Amino acid sequence: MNLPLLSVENLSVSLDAGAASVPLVRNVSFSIDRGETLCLVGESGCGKSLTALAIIGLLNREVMQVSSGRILFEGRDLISLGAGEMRRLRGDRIAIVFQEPMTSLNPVQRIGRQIAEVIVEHRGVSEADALKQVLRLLDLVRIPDAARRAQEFPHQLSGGMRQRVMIAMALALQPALLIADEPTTALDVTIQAQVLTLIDDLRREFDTSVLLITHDLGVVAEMADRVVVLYAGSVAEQADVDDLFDRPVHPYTRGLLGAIRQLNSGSRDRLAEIPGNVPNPVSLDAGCAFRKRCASAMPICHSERPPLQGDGLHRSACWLAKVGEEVMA
Amino acid sequence: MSAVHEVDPVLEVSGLTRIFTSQKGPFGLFGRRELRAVDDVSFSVERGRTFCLVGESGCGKTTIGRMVVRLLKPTAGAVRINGENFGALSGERLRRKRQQVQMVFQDPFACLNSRMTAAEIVEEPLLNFAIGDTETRRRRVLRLFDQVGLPQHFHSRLPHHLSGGQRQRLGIARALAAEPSLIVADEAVAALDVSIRSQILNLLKDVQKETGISYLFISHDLSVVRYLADDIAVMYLGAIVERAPAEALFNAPAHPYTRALIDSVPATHPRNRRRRSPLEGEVPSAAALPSGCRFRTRCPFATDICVRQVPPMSEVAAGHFVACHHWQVLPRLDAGPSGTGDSIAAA
Repeated sequence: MNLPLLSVENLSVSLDAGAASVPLVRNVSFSIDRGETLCLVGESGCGKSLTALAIIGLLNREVMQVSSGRILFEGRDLISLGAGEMRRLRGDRIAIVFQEPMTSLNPVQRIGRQIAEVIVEHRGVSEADALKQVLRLLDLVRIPDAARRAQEFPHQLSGGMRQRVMIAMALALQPALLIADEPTTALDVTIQAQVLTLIDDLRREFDTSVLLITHDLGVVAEMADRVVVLYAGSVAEQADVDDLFDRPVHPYTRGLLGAIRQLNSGSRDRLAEIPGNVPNPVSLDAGCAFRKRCASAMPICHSERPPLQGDGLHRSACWLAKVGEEVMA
Repeated sequence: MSAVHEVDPVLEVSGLTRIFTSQKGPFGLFGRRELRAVDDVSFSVERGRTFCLVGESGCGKTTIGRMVVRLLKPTAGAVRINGENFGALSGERLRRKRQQVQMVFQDPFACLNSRMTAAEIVEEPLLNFAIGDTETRRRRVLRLFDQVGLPQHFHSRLPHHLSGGQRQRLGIARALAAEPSLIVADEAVAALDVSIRSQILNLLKDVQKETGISYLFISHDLSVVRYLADDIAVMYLGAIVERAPAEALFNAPAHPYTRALIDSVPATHPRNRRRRSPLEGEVPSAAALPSGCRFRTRCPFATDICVRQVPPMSEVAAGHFVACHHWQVLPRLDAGPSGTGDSIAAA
């Protein structure tokens, strides 16, 4: 049997706020195959970054916890792993790149040594050997003049170069899974295009799986094989990328896609709006989280949360899809 | 393409230049370093229209915005608002002129006083410019709330009780309060989520329709610019490299940098994926500008002349200007896959 590399099953993450516990990620499930790119897309506060942090075991344990679910990676449940085992896995089999490289890099250490440290720590090679590998890695992420750059400090590099350094560091041990959390959001468009191309080339070259987290459906269109759309902590829709862009089902997905299409169409007509704001997670009730912003809301949307349903690959959490099915039947 | 309209500029910027200097070494022992952030920029914004300055970080667009509202003094050049030289004014006349230009920022939270209520924030410019009595101001504030789509019962809320979109609405209400003729909006929708961004873009257009206000809209986001702009200037390393009516710029971009920018916009459908990055390399430092054309270090079409000579502004078509030695011989744009593929293919 061909198991997926990563399979997240009914993951829920909650915030412990005093006596109460507020669910921020609810019953999220998806899986990633080897060499595949899956995009988690959604707006601020939808739970996409928390999902990533849960996978890599970096949730702030003092206030957050995984309240249910399993995260199966290469056959092991990451949630049950001890801190030591998780640390060995991190960097080695799973690596992460964040939006702002400056917060992840040590400002007073030369970048060559920072990358070498990862290799020495996990592989037990000598520092000299590690530094040789570093030059190869910097070449790989297309940093020109690698030998000189390795001697520089993070502040001497541009934002795009720093993100390349982070990618080099993430790939140092050839992980099976690369998690990239808004890796190009802080970059200019021409540099964003370079970094996205780089991630995709490296995925192909090493057969790495990529979990790409973004708010930008344009980035999804460029990169994804499969897509999970999150809204207010739950999966609103998931599908293969072509299918999602051709046949979006959930009114939220439709709204987001409509927004980027209209903006890029050259038309000056009034933009279709998704009215209102994202709900506060504390105030979520039994109904659909999107109903107050939804033009098609029906009575059932107020009383019952729609389950995620559809054929195996394309699923959405919307009562409308259910009604559609019944009408078709 | 565009009907002949009467020329009635709200804002005229001519030869605007800003050089920042910093000391090299302790106490400037090794001289001074000059950074040419904005270099001889000219354009004008006509009444009731939207002029967009677009470019990547460090291109000088924000510095221009700050000079236009007089938050920063130009090293050279002039800013004229409704025909008067803004920089030469002082006293009461300066105060009255300031009323005519207001600003909306990227992060409204950073520029709204967190201890003032929403109503006080909107009323403040009215007080500053001594507009109306208490009752008129109260009514005007409520009308502004309506205009920007904030519920009136929000008047006593503090900024941190508002969402990002609501704060931006508040920032716009405040900018509109003194009835300016020009709003300078610097990345006004950049920090907003997609679903909120459409709301604010619609609001900006509605306000323009109702009041005839002009916008100088500064943005790095070509999709937003395409939707909002009547006229566009593309900036690179402190200078305008191309300036045109919006439609012309997107349908027939003449500068290699403009083309690369348009090509770098992510696709709107996976079918139109780009398989390569349109532009290699990075922007050089403004403290060490390349000789000749400032784009030549990244330009695939650069030749000797680009190293030797600064390209002059050539008029490609009526109102469409480009600073490139080779604009006449650049290869035609093919219907290659790109984010805005349809329109480029049509050009």
